Amino acid sequence: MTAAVAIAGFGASEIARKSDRGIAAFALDAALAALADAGITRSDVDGYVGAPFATNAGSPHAECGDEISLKSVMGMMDLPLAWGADLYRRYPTDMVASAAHALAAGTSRFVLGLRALYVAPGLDYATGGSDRAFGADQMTRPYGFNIAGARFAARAWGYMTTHGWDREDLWNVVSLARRNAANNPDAVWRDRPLDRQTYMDARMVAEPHGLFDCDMPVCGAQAFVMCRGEDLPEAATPAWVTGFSGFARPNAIWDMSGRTPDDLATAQLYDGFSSMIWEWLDGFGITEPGQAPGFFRDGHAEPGGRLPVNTFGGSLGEGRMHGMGHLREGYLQATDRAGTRQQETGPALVQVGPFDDSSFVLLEPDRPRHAA
Amino acid sequence: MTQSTPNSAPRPVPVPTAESRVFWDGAEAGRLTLRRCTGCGRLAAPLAPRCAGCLGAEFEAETLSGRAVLGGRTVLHVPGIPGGATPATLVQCAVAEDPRIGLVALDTTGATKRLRPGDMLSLSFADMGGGVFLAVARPGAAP
Ligand SMILES: [Zn+2]
Repeated sequence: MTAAVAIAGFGASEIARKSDRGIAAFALDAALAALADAGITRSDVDGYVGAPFATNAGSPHAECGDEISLKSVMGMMDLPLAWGADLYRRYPTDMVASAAHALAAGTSRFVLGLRALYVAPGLDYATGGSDRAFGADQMTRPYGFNIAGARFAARAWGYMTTHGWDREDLWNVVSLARRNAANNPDAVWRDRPLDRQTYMDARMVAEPHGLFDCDMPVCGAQAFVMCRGEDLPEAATPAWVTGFSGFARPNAIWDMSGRTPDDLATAQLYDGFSSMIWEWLDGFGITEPGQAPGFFRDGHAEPGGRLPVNTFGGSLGEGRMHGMGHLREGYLQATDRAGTRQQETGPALVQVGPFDDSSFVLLEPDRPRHAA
Repeated sequence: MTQSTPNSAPRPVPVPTAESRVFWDGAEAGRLTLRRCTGCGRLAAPLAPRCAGCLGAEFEAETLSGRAVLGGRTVLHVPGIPGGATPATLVQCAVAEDPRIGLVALDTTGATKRLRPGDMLSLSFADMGGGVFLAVARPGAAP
């Protein structure tokens, strides 16, 4: 970054399996908590970034269901913003990058980032439904390849078959998620330990994924405030944004930050389905190609291990916050605010999205020296 | 999990566009058909608006061998799968003539169970009812 830009605070709503409250109520809870955490008030906010996408069953293309957007946030908070954007089909990591751009350009002083998820009653989360397949969907939906993470399951089968891993290795991921979730007061699975036999006996969803390899759809929202170093409120605890990149050129994050994977203290890796967590351990060369499951098998991803992964329980433990939970944990780990689950306070990698669509953010406790 | 679940969900009917019509017309005739760029000779994916190589817009339809390389495979167990019963086996594969082009296919016999990534498949197209012709994968080279 040429400008010193930080996440100044983070906020969260409760996370619930179902709710009588609407999605906007969760979103506003999170937004107000983020403002309070950053030490600013509503009138300070002059920028907004969201990424409404797959908010609930049936809404992968945002034509269905109730999305939280720039317009709805401006309405519910009565905010006359200088700038705002909804990033179509992107992720919380992209929200950070986009806010950083607006701050570096001087467009905004305080950018609110917000993402809400919801379980819409009466819609089957796994299947959705319509009798015609338009656009790119015509190549997948008639086959059912859009259902229940089929494309990730098919990829997991290829990976596991090629490199000799099995469901024990998926269990290692799920087990770590549940154990870490026990230390996350917000996690839907915090009081629900899972044993190996229950995991193995659970019904299959899309082989090799069983029920517990899929994250739990929830109602919830999380939000952050970003600003430039010179505007940092006195009460705020900053995590400095030192790098970001996208899946096509992932290593740009190291060029930008001057870091290497060896510098990482923690990694929050997207785990909407358990097998997805392996992608970027391999992708960043932290493990040899095909060897990420061994990293879990050998305990390196555990708290206190070589590179603790998903210290908050991941989506598999916390609930389907679609990457906001990963970003929040990266923030908390980088600012030494993760409480009983705090690891070494250092560079925190956050990755959100599938193998062919991921983006990345690096958060650090110390203000970058080279930035203005 | 060998139990079959009856299913009433309709199989979504593909709605072709100008780009994908060659593919779906080929499917109806039982053949894997793509477009080849007349400028640089690269094959185009069914939905590609132009050639991804030279950005040319002139194509000729070409019937391919139907051979494909197995990449991924899953067996779906959730209820609500369109147009059939569960469990249903799906494969993800790469067109042999240009592995950059990926396709999804049904495995209606379960015969891909013994295969590994990288093994050859033969793609044909089957009438799934309601005018929907979908790719079906079997082990081995095309006949
Ligand atoms: Zn061309």
